[in-house]
Amino acid sequence: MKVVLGVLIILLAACASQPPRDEQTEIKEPAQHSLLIWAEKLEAAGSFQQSASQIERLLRLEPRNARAWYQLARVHFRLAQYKQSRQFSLRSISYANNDRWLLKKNHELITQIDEATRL
Amino acid sequence: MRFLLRYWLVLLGLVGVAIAVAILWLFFYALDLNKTVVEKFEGKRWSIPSRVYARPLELFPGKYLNQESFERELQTVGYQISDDGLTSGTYARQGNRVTLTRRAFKYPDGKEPSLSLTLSFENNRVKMLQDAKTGQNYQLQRIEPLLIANIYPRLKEDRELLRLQDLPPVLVQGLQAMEDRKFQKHHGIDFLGILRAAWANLTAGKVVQGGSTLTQQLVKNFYLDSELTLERKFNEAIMAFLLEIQYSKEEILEAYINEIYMGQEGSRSIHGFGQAAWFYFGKPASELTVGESATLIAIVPGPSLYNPRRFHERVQARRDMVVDVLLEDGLITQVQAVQAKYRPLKVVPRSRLSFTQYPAFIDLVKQQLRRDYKEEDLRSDGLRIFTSFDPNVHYNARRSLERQLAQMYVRNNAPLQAGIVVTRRGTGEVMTVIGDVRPGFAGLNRALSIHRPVGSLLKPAIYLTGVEQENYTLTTLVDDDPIRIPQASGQDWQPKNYDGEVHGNVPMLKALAFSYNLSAVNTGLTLGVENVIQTISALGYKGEIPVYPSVMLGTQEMSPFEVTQIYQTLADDGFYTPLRAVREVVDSNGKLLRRYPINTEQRFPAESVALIKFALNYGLYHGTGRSVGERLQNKVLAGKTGTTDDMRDSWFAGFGNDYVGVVWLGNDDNKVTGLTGATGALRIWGEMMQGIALDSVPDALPDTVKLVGVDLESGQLGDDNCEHFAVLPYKDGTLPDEKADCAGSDSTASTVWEDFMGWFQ
Repeated sequence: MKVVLGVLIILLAACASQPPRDEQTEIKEPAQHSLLIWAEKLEAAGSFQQSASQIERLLRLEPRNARAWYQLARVHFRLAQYKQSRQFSLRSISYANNDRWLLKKNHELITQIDEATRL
Repeated sequence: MRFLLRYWLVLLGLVGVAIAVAILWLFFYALDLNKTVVEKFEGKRWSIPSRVYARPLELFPGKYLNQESFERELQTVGYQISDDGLTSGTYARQGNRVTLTRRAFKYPDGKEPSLSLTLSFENNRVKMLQDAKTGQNYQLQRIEPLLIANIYPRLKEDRELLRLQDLPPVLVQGLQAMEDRKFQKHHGIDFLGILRAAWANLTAGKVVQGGSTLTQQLVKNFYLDSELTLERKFNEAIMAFLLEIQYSKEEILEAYINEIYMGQEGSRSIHGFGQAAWFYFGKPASELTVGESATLIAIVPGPSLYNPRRFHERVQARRDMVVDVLLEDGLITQVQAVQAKYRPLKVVPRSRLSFTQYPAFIDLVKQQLRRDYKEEDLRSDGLRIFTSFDPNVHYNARRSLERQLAQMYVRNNAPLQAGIVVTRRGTGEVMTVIGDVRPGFAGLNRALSIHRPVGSLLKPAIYLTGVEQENYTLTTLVDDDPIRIPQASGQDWQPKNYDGEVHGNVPMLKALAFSYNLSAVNTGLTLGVENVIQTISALGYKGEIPVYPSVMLGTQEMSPFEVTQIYQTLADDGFYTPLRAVREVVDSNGKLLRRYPINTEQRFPAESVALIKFALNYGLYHGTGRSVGERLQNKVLAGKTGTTDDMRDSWFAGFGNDYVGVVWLGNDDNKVTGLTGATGALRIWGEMMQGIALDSVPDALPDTVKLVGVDLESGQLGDDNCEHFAVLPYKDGTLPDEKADCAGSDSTASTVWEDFMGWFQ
């Protein structure tokens, strides 16, 4: 019986897994979505610090949001903080699971980081 | 006759010269005084304490939050219950709906206005969030944060600086009506007023009236000591005049309302209406009612004589008198006057802000800020410090500590001490720190400053080393046989298992979940002590660890905070994330001075940590933690017990989906507690997590980890025919490929987990 309980816990983990996605998908949760949109706007306006601060706010709501970690990586890339950028990107990858679009974006970013740090 | 005339002329001349000299002297004297007047009035007028804030409560549909803790937090932030919840700082409840009006607040990322919100709750989550007035749905709103501490100037003067427009007009006008009717007309000194007061005092035979203008009162408090001499009175008059001719009435009035002494709490003195509003009514001055404004005006002449907490009736009588004056002067209506007098004088219980209620957390805040700020700046510059402190987590930690300790006390009949740290998974933000079993007790901080042997808490690091270095799986057999290690002292070290038994070859899962000591030492020696130590450092421990085999059993002394950092890295899937308590520091003008951003560094691949997390989850529910784990079935939690020699220290370190928590229990004098990790610290940890871990969806496994049904004994593919059947995670490339003897012939045993789920259903 004890062992079966262990099984149960694991089975629950199954539900968290999602089918592979190749396209960019929107974040379902409205709060997280609105923060991400806001952060992207700030980034586009060149306000990288403020953008980072909104992404961190998002991460407090949902620490394993792969999109948010990617966004944070991108903002730090813009700030030329390559070491941090790479780490945030790696973290995004570790939560991205089947989101192939996001994995691709992260790998592109890491390539960019490699190029920037090689110079 | 002529002699007399000459005499008079000379006298007149002398008098003239004397007057001229006196005027000249007065001129230079005033010029000199003016230096002081201008310097202080235009410079930094006051030392303002720094304010330390908790995190603001973020609200959004879908958020895990139960209604009870939400309302508790509103009360903690000073919200009062009302009929409709539509005035600032109040809330109303109707079944599962709460309507509140939050206060305007200046966040580091901008000011947010006051707003009326309606929320509904369902299944421990926020179901709906909308504008209480327009019905508009909101995606995200926040409630202003709790003030958790003040860092005071050395003299402990506490004040909140306000602009005149921040105050209800009736308070500003009423003050003038009571204290200085002619304030708008005079030039600092009201000679008629002085005469009137002198006459009144003379006829009464005692001091019943003061003749000082508001300007003189300001000068007295601001520039001079309280000594009652003629010289001081003289200076006061000149300085009042000097202030008046150089500054506007508004500037003087504003300085007055910020300077005025309004009360005392221990060594802390309350100055200004802004702080007084918090001190007596628990709200910002802008929210004061007519009656409350009148009460503050009533207190002005003598904060100890008119201390509303001590002399209730006296103050109420004076308040009513003030209300009468306000009515006479047409500053309020008849209805307002009746309402104000009808309400009994109500002040909030003595605030305990003179000393923070959360000293252990504040220790951490100061420790973090010390790197960037001088102590003196923290004490005087009016900084606003935004932290990650979570009042709800703190409440739960404190409550479970108290309840469980009470039971342990009955059983063990000994007082204990405790250190607790709770952090947020993912961001590494510290939610709370508890450093003493007595709430609010500052002193030895047992979460940050004590270092104790950690017992079995480091065992996960041993097996993580194995997974990383030798591709261990959860079914890799490790050696739980006796071992004898020669020591320099000449006496051999012979570790033993807690149950005194020897288990032979055991799967790694069991060795960790049941915390076998012999397995730990043997495995650690096989992998290399240095390598295990390297893993411990990579997990985030910064101290030096001497290379002894006894490290495997946790002889290394650490603080609960240091242990938390290690478990944070496990909880965060191998990403080291430095723990932080401060988010931002803002100056007194609202300018962002410094942000403490999140940092992270991958130290271990998520797939390796996933196995350890699984074993820690298993250990809580089936291993050493099961006595408490049994009662936590509806949660997804994981963790490790720690017990030291003769049961001196009782530890538990673990995490759920949202939080990482570490609890230490022990005695300051290191006496035996009689508690294991499971019978002591884990009970507190379990109850605390029961209260705060609301999200019970388990983490998704990394893509490179597969779940496989195995026979736990052999580590080979198994099915439900096997007595010790379990579904376990394996890293790609380490999956078992042979079928166990116990598995049936038509077995599904060769399949991985996706198919297995179908079978289970």
